[in-house]
Formats: sequence, C-alpha cells, structure tokens
Amino acid sequence: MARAMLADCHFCAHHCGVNRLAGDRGVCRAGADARFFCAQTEVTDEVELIPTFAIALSGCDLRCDFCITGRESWDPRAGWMLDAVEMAQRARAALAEGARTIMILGGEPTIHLPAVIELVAALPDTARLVWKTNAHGSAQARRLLDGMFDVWVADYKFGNDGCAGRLAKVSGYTGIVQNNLLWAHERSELIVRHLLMPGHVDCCWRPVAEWLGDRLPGVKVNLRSGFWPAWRAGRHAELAGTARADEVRQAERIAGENHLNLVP
Amino acid sequence: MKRTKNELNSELLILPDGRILVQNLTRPMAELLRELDPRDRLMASRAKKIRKGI
Repeated sequence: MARAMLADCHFCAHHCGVNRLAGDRGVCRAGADARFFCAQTEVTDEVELIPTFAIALSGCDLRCDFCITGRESWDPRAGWMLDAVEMAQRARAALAEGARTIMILGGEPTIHLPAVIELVAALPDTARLVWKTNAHGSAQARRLLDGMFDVWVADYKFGNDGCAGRLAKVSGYTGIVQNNLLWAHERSELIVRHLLMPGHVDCCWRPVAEWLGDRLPGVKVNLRSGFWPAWRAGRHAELAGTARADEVRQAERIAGENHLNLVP
Repeated sequence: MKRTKNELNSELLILPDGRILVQNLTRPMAELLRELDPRDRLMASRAKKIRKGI
C-alpha cells in the first residue's frame, strides 16, 4: 500500500504529488527505490541511545546550505541499494555485538517510507527503534509511522520561516515541524534536537526554546553546539564559522530561562 | 575516495583553537579521541565498551 503511494507522493510536506513509480521526481529527486550511504554502529547520538546501529538513507527533502553530510545526504543516487533483508541481518549482528538501538535516518528517511516499512518488518520485534527525522513529514507520513518507532529524534532547526526559507529552501517550516513534534510526543518518546547556528541564537534558538518550554514542557532537548561550516554554509556570512563560546553560553541561558530538559 | 558499504566512517574538523568537532562518531574513533583528552567525560562515556565491544 505504501509503495503505491509513490504514484502520488505526499510523504513530505512539500506535497509534490509526483509519480515516483513512473520516474517523475519531486523536490527530493528520489525515485521509487531507496539507497543508503552509511550503515554502522555509532556513538555520536544521545547517550541514552548509544551505541546505535545507524542506517542513513540517501536523499532529503530539505536543502540546508550548512548540511554537514552534503551530497550523500541530499542525493538519492548516492550509496548503495537498500536490501531490507540484508540490512536487517547487519542490524541483528550489531545488536548481538552490543548496540542498544537501531536508528533510521537520512538524508531524510520520510521520503523512503515504503522501504522503511519493509526494513522495520524485517527487524527483530524486540529491537528498540529510533526514527531520526527533520520533522518535515506530512499527515500521510504520520499515519504510516504511527506505532512503528519507539523513539523519535526530531530536528527543530529554525525558529522562524524566514531563516528556514533562506537557509533550507522550505516554506511554512515552523508550523509543519511543530505539528509533527506535538504528534510524535503523544505517540512515542521524543528527543528534540537543535543545532545552534552562529548568528541565529535570537532569531532561531530563542523562539524554538520558548515554544518547547511552552508547548512541550519536560521534553528532552539536545542543544548541539558543534556547528561546522559545511557544504554551502559559506554562502551565508554568519555561517562561515563555528558557534562562538559566548553564543553557546547565551543559548544555555535561554534553555535555562525556559526550563528545558537538556540531554547530552 | 571510493567507500565500501561496510567500512566505518567518522569525520573530524580540527579547529585552530584545538577543539575537535566530529560527526558519525564510531567507538574506535571515540577511543582515540578519549586518549587525546582523558578528562573529557562525555567522550569517555561514548568510548566505553559495551559487552562484546563495538
């Protein structure tokens, strides 16, 4: 059923409505088949989730100019074809070696929901599954994802639609992300991530922190200060370097003012 | 550089002030970084071996 939805794709909030089964391409440029560009056990993520066997699917519906992964993240042709059975075997081996969770991420995995459903079906029932997303999915995607993952790790990158449009070529960003976060919080564990961008403490982090404190009090928040000026970040003067120490301190103060539950 | 689908990958950015930023951190890389700064508790928690040792 999910694969048939590719004929009129509305998995992400761009709502392109293209027929990916017929070779048409929307904003994400993804076709009908999913590829992955990295699958390995990592300890980068939230301490409570690691080690995690992280499966990174190729392609994304956003074009964040500072994307740390760059081409492999947004190019759906990058990497290797995803074979659900083979990948599930690798995941099982990782669990046997001590991985605590299995994380599916991208790029943005929402654009590959049919393949994700196949993959999850092949994974052990007892595995703790993590969905790492940009939270720009559609209501249709939410219906398919309902009950599939134990934990959502969701980005809330921009605090206003202006910055989202300028830096990631997306419109209506904040309302879409907020809807997804509220939905995810009701149905699974939720960790919200914000990558602190230099020059965006007041315009992006502050409104994000205020909204989280108001609408999702107590939710786990991972404020990440390790921005680096990757990919096309240099197109934006303020993103040409890393976050300054005083910006990090200010961001932490804002988190405190809004009583956020910061997690490492 | 061509990558294979089973190799481990981490990416590092070493800043002029000595800070190291990392993404796709694997445990072997975390162990290496812990050696550089044994007082870094967060890195120590990421480098910690779990069961058979990933």
